Amino acid sequence: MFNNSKEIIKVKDLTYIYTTVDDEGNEVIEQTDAKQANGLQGVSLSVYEGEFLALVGHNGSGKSTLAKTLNALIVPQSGDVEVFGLNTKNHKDVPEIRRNVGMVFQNPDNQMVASIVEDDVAFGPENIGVPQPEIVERVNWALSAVKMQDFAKRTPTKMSGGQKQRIAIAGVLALKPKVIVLDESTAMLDPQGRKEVLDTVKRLNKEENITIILITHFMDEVLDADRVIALDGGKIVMEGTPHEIFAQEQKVKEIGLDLPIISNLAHQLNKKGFDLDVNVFDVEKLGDEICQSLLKI
Amino acid sequence: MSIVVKDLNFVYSPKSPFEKHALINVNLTVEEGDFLAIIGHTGSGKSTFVQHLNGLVKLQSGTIIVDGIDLSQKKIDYKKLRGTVGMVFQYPEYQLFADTVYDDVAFGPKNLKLSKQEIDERVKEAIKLVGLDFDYVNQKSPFELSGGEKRRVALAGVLAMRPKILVLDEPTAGLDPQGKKEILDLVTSLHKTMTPTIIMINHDMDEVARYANKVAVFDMGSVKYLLTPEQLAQKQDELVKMGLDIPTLAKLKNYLANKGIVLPDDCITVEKMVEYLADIKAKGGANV
Repeated sequence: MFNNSKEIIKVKDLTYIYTTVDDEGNEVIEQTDAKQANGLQGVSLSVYEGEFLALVGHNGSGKSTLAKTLNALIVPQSGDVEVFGLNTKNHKDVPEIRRNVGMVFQNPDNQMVASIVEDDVAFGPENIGVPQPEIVERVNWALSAVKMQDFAKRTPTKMSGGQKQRIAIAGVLALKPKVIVLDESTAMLDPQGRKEVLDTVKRLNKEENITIILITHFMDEVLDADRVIALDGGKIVMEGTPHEIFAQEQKVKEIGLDLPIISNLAHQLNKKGFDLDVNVFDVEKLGDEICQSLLKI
Repeated sequence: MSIVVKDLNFVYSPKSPFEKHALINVNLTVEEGDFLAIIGHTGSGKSTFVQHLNGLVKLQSGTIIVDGIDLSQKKIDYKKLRGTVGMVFQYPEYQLFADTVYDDVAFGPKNLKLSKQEIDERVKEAIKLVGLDFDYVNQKSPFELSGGEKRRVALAGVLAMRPKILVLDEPTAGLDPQGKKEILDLVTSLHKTMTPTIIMINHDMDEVARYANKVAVFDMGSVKYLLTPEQLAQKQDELVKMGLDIPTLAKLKNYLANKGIVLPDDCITVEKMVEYLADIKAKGGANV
């Protein structure tokens, strides 16, 4: 559905292999548990304006590495990453790229730089030399966008993980990025915190037309994405809508991922002679399907 | 009886402007052999509660008896207590510190002043228990290992104390689906073979449904409910009001019941659900 939108990020034949130095001082290629080279190998993809893209894959599949190439935290060893037409290899373009692509990481406590919420959010715009009155405006706007405006004068230390992550998102928003990358930003949160962060992200995607790239291990978080890309061994192995991905039970399990439990149940029941729609992810819809199939006999 | 907690109260920063009643009249009994899941959202008191169990937090009021050790007494044998209750914190891999995996796992037993031979035996046993290859890992730096392996080493360090009660605070946080399953299967096998009592803080209700035999629901510093995972289905509205959830398939079970398809209580895992629904289908469908 976004193929008609503007292509804003273009990754072409991206390769980045982590290396390490062995006891003899030689550079060697790092290996994952599966004894594959650790990193990315020949990855190509496009990200379109306004889409909600989910990146999934087991630990070590390369998704965080890919995310880090999108705002030049990692520069490709070969291949190219172009962000709004700027190549991440050109050092002088890096500040502009980072203004456009904001990152939110996993641990909320590692992302706070100031002891008062509004100072923390102001840190980014201050650094890029935004004039003072506009900083105030941006901070207020960013905090309202994540529904944390009442906490502007408070200290983040006593807040919940979900609140801290929303402040981290506000800090990124204050730079007015066009893309936000969330690298497992919900992994350390409780269900309520996860919901707060996801609702915030979805709202920013819909209302502010910010392109979202969400990296996650929670398959239920993927369901709202427009498109899902699955990585395994540093390569893209699946791509499609959540429905298209989770219809392929075998393949999803092969790459070390899981189906959302409702979809898994539908697949298992079909093996026992049911004829359920496996593209159903919510309890009520599957419930209705089961009723129909049992009551019509 | 394994753990008996009576009228436990705990206040952070008492008599200061930051005074906070973290635990209010908590009563809870955990029997030997239980796999207890503790659920509750941030600030409900669950971490403060588990920190009492091996004396990390000093008892203020109430009584706690852990495997015969009375924590309300003035003199507590902490060495014995900490050998009895093994505590695995959130992201335990961040607590690894030694130069080699061997030394890290040996740290606890060394502090118990055991003989060299006994320490060696325990380290080998613990590393084997968590499913790592002793010869491959024992002389490696823990920091060379992958995230999942590091977590196993941290767990081995606790198991080397041969605890009777294992407390785990969100053992699956941050792992991928495969990693989660491996850790929980490991805990289940420890429960069967080595540590009779497991207490696990976990937010994922589907994991709770699959692995635990009892669930304590913490809310605002108290134990609101102590029930079996099967009984969670009956508390759907109450738990949702607390900002918690019930297992996905318990929701489905309730939904189907409203439509006239009533399933047994234990229908909260995929396997059971498939078994019963296939059975109904084979018998010619539901009679509504």
